Amino acid sequence: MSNKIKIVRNPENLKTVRDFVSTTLQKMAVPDPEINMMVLAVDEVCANRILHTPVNASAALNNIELEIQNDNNNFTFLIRDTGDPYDINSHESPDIRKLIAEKRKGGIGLLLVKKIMDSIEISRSEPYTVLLLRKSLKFA
Amino acid sequence: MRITTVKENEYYLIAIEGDLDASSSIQLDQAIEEAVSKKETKIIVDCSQLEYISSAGLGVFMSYIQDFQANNISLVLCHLSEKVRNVFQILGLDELIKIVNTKEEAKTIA
Repeated sequence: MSNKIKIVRNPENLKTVRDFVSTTLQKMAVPDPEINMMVLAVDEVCANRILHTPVNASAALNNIELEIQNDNNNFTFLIRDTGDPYDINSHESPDIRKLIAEKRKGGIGLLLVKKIMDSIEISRSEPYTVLLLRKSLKFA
Repeated sequence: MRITTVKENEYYLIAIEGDLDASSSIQLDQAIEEAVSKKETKIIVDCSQLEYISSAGLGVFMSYIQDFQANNISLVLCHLSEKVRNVFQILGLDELIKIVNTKEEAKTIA
């Protein structure tokens, strides 16, 4: 079973990403509530990459690749693209009430990812930026 | 995603169908903006057909909280699936936005 997918960087393709994560985790017998949370986290990271990192000039490199690995219920989501690296871990978690007071529509996506995932690693291997989202689960 | 709006007496109903994500949240924003421009003060969002919400959707609701409180506009969400409601709960938004089980309940507090 292939646990990899490649999409063109376009918000319209986020649904494809979500369906892929959901189907893959279902095949790995992950319970639905955990699937829903991991789908959300991967969707948020991909949306962030698509909307907030510059598009590469080469259409051939204008993709996002996602690979899901499972080692004894220790899940790793590898997300790779050619956008600029942005260190999610250095992103200061916003205060929700402050965002509301400022009438902001954005700013909570990465906060959701941090709440859901155990760790987020980011690295650069030219021409790629690689994000590793990790989550360990305990289920029968 | 599909959004339909209908006026029921003094209530302005917005029904969301499908996935509310980074590609579609602008449609919800426009629907709420339209309600505001029509001077609606009792807005009910029917989420019975809402299958998914991401931060982009949460952000739309979040951005109106301040103005709606200041202008006595009521925004109530109803019929959320457990899956969608869980997303509101992660950041505690379920305590900052009115969420009830049914449309009838929504009408009583709108």
